[in-house]
Formats: sequence, C-alpha cells, structure tokens
Amino acid sequence: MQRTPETCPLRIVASFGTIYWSKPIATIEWSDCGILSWGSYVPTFRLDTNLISDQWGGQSSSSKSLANIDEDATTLGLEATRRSLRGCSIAPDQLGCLLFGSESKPYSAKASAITIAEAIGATPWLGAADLESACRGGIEGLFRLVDSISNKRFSYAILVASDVAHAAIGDALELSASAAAVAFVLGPATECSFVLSYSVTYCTDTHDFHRRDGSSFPVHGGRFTGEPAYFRHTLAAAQEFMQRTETKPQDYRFAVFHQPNAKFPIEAARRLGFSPAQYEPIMFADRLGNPYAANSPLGISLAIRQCDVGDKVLVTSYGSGAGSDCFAIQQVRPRPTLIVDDKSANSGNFVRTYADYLRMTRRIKRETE
Amino acid sequence: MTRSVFITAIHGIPIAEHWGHSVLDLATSAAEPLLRSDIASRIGALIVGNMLSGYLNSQENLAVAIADRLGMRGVEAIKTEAACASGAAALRLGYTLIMSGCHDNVLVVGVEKLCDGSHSKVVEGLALANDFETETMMGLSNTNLAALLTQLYCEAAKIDHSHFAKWVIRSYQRAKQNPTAMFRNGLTTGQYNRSPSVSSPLRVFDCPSIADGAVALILSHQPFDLGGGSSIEILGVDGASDSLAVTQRTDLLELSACRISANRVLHNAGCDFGDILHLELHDAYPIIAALSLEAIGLAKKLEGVDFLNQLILLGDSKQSLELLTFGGIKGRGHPVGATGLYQILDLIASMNRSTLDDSLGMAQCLGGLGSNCFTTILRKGPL
Repeated sequence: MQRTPETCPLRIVASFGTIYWSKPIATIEWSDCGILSWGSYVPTFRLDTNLISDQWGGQSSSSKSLANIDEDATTLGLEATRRSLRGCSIAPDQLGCLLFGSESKPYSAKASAITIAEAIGATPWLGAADLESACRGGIEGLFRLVDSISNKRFSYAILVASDVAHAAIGDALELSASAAAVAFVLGPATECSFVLSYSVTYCTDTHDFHRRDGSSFPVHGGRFTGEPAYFRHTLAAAQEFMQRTETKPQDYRFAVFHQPNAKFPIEAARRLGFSPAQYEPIMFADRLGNPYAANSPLGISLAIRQCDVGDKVLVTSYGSGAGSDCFAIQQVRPRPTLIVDDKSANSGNFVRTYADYLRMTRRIKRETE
Repeated sequence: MTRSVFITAIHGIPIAEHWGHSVLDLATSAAEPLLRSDIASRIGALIVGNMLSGYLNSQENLAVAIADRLGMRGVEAIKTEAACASGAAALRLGYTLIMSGCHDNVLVVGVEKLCDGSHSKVVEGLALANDFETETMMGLSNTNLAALLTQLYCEAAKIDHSHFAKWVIRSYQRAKQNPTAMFRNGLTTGQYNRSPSVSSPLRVFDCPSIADGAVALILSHQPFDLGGGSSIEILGVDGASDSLAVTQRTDLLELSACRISANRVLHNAGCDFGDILHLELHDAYPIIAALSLEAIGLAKKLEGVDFLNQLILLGDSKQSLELLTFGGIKGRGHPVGATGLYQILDLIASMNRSTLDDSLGMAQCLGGLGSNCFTTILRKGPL
C-alpha cells in the first residue's frame, strides 16, 4: 500500500536537542499562543464510494473514512485528545479549558467537551463547552482559546474538532460525509514549536448546507454551495488576511483550505495564486472524504507535520451558514518528538458491501432479538 | 388599420447564475439603460415574458412589479406565459399592440431567475410545461422526454446518438464570441464524451443550462437606427400550438407547431423561406434543433441532424444561411422566459454583422417540447 502522509504511522521520538527561536515577520500579528502538540484519529474503516454510486447512480471515484457502529463524535474526540496529550508533558489538571467543535455531537444539550475532560482527568476545574458553526466550529473555538492563553487567563488548553458525519441515504452528501477527530494542545508561544497568528473572520448569513433541529441529516445547498458560499467566504477571508499582513502566497510553505471535495480547495488555491506544491501534499478529500469540523484541523495537522523551522502555513477554514477564518501558523523551533503509535492512520480496511455501511451507520439493525 | 413595428432599442444582460440579484433586479438591469432618453414617458405598455416567477420567486403579477420598479406606474402591464416561449409570446403581444394601433411604444421584457431554487425544484418547475396527467405525474421531465424522442429518432434514422455531438460542440464554439452567453470556454470532444449521462442517451452538454437572464426591448411604430444606419422591423410574429403531451402527437417526430407557425408568419409577412438569411432555432436539445429544421422544411424528414453536420463540414462561412450564429441555447444558457428575446438579440447581432443593407432573419421559439411555438421575422433595412 502506498505510504502517504495520512497513512504513515505517526512516530515522534523524544529529543532534547538545541532549541532555537525563529523571529516571525513583523507584519503578521502573532499571538502569544501556540500548538504544543496535536493528535488525530481517523477511524480505520474505509468506504469505496463506488459502493454508493452503484446503488443510487452518479459517478464517484474516491473513498471516505467510516466510523464503526460503536463510535461517535465524542469517542473520536476522546481518542484524538489522548493522542495529543502523549505529544507533550503537561498534566490534564493543568488545562484551563477544553472546547469541542462539532456538528454531530451526540447530545443537543450536554457538552461532549465535559465528557472528554472527565475521561482524561482534567475535571473539575476548567472551562468546557461545545461549539457549532458547521465545519468551522473547531476553528472558532481555537481562537477563543488563543485569546485566553494570550491574555494569560490560563496557560494550557485543548481544542478538539470531531465529527461522525451522516448523510441521508441516496443523497449526494453520502459520497463525502466521513469521520475524523483532531485535538490540539495549546500553550504559551514561548513553549511551543508552532505559533498561531490572530485570525480574520468573514461571515455572512448565506444559504448553504444545513441541518434543522430534529433532523438526522443535513441538506446541501446545491449550486449555492459554490460561488456564493464556499468561494465568496474563503477568498474574502484569505485575501483580507494577506492584505492586512502584507504577505503573498509565496511567503507560505503550505496553504490549508477546507476540503468539502477534491475540487473546491484546488480552485480556491489557484485563484489566490498558490502553487500545487503548496496544497497537493495536504489534500485528503479524495481518500478520506469530508469530516466536517475536523476538516481544516486535519489539513493543519498534515501541513505542520511536513514543515521545517521558519516555514509558515496559511489556513483558511470554511463553515456553511457561512463563515471563513484565515490565519497563519509558523514553526519557530524544531518540533518536539515523542514515540506515538498511530495504527489507525495506517488503514486499508475497506468495507465490502453497502449493507456493511448501512449496519455500521445504524441504518439497519436486527429486528428480532 | 395595421402599422409597421420596429425594434428601436434592445439590451440583454449576460446570462449567468446571478446569485446576488432577484428577478426584479435582473429585469431592471436589462430595461433601465433603455429608459434614459425621453422615450420612457411615451411607453404605453410593459409586456413581460416569464415562466416561473410565481413558482420559484414567489412573485406573480410580475409586469406590475417590474413597471413599479422602473418608475412606470400607470402603464398597461401584462405578463405572458408560454413555457419556454414566454419571451416570444411577450414579443407577439407587444407587436400586436403596436401593429393594431393600441399603443405607439411598448417595452417588452423577457426575464427569468431560475437559480433561486434547488435543482430538483427548478426541474419540477420546468416540467410544468408538459402534460401533468400523462407526463409529469409519471415522473417525466423535459430532459426525459427529449431523451425518449432522441432514442426514437436514432432508431428511425438508423443513426447513433454520437451524430449529434458535433453540433453541440459547434454551438459551444460559437458561443465564445457571444458577449451575453453563459459558456464562453468552448467544448472539446473529450469533455463532451466524458460528461455524465443525464437521461440516456443525453449527456450533460446535450441539455440546456439552468441560468438567469433578462432582455428588454422597445417596440415602436417608427424606425430608429440600431447600428450601422439601418433599422430593424418586425415583419411578423405568429404562434401555433400542438398537443400538450408528446405522446398524443400524430407523428412523434414532427413538430407541427413549428411548421404551422413558420408558415403563418411567412404568409402574413409576405416572404418566402428562401429569403431568410439568418436563422435562430430553439436548440434546447439537439433533437429539437434537428426536428425544427425538418419542420420548417430546411431538411427532409429524419435528415435534420445530417443537415446540421453538413453545415459544420462545409464550414459555416460558406453557407448562405447564418444558423445559430452565436451558439444558440446550447452555448448561451436557457433562462427560459428570457430565451425568446435573447434569440432576437442574437439575430439582430447576426444581421448587423452582415454587409447587406437589406436582409431577413427568422427566430423560432418553442414552449415545452414543441407544444407551443412563436416564429418571428425581422427585416434589417435602410432607415
């Protein structure tokens, strides 16, 4: 099986080598908060989307990740959080806050953030809440924590972005709705390898993908999803950020965009002036689908994994409804390394039939006991 | 008493997905530039051609809504609906009002805002043109009906559907020079062959595109220079109808409404088909273009597609007939209620390109799969 960034087991080796600081460019407003470590969990199962298009027609040539019957956004988020903590040496009770971004949280009233905080031993003294803004809920949460840490309200926090996305049977969204979770441990910039800038957010009340309260499945916005929604917000936020910071596409090693499919992010990158070398190494939509709130965070984790000291990454999220955040991340010192076994990323575990998929997503179940 | 009728001003907005504009915004954008002179105060009627403003945009009584927006309260305001021929029907009514002496100047607007609804709602809306009881209720859309007609035609003519491909590609090629067309990038054979099947044997590029658009024109009983020192006179607009349901036709492969409407207008205008040098057909689907050519007598039965392909082989410039000069509905897009007037816009542009001082052009606009048809004859002549 071909080894690509997301299929390589994540191995980080402890080292106490020389740490040096790389000064960020003055025109980007860097916060006093950075990424101390991170972890991701992509469920091991994969679905070849031909199984879906064979049933309902249409064309597809991709795969997506599939959560098992006993997994949900909270369990995925917890696994990602545990992995993220393995990459740093802070104790859970040092966390000041844990925020959980998702659009498939199991309870409409009960924070998954608290469940995860309890499971990792961070309770009872911390802030915890769930955030929703379609696929940018996690990123919005990220910047609430960036502000708090920069203002020294607390030193450490965790941002979890997790979704087990569902789509109605036979709906076009079935081809891309997938599952993943990413967790970032955040801390003071002076302790981190990756520093975060402050962000620019562009949001308008624009019709797009949405899910009504009480409905199990979202509805997509047809062609509204394109120019008036994704491109308008993504391009506005990215252009505004680069203009304000007087940076150009060439200043960044990678450009992370929200990947609802394989085409939109490439088109956005092209329009903004980024080259394929800046986005191709972090594309995952064709193989993993769209894990909603975990989408941009997964892109970030793939990008920063490939960075060197001094590299900057431009991140532009997108959430339907709609809004885009744009910010930069810079690697300022060699990343710390710890051994972590990440078997789940090494997956070729394709489900065999559409019926397997229906059972795993709880569409069919035993009718007799 | 009958009077001459001239098109004294015309303006069309680019056909596109106008996300930020409502149906009234589109109509206003098309009409406002025409109203800057003193003509505005002398317009007696506003006729609007539109099909789905109620179904998709929650607005009926559309002509009043547009007149109000344009600051034309007091004018006679009527919306005409004839499915995809709504714009042509509006022209027919406007023409008749001037010809009969009821009004001296009439503003005619064709407008359609299809992008307000989800794809499935738009397809359902467009299917309202067909017979609900025997077609729509069974789940047949316009594209399904066109696909069935295409299958029938291919079987009868003993040809393959690929015979239609060259014509589609030529249409997209021609649209590159059309400033109001939605598709200006051309189309390669590879792209056409790789495009998804929509309703066998029709592929995506065989089907008309859902789009927004608007055209406004002013009709007057006196001529006006529309460019190049010549005037554009409407010699006639005539309509005809056929059975509503495709399956009820005597011959499924004959568009008799096209034949009757063309014959009527030629007779009333006092011309022969041989005098026509510029022709706009309703090429929403390639099969309709082929059947239209057969209906008006340019091609023999079951040879319509051959005629189209011959035209391409010989090179359009060598033809005496300028057919679908700017890409037709294929390349332009299909904002249904406005399409009839985009045909007029393209026809005038085609006639103005010619060096002849005096020439005739014909535009044929269909409603549904040929259940309704309006044919217009224009004359470009010296002022």
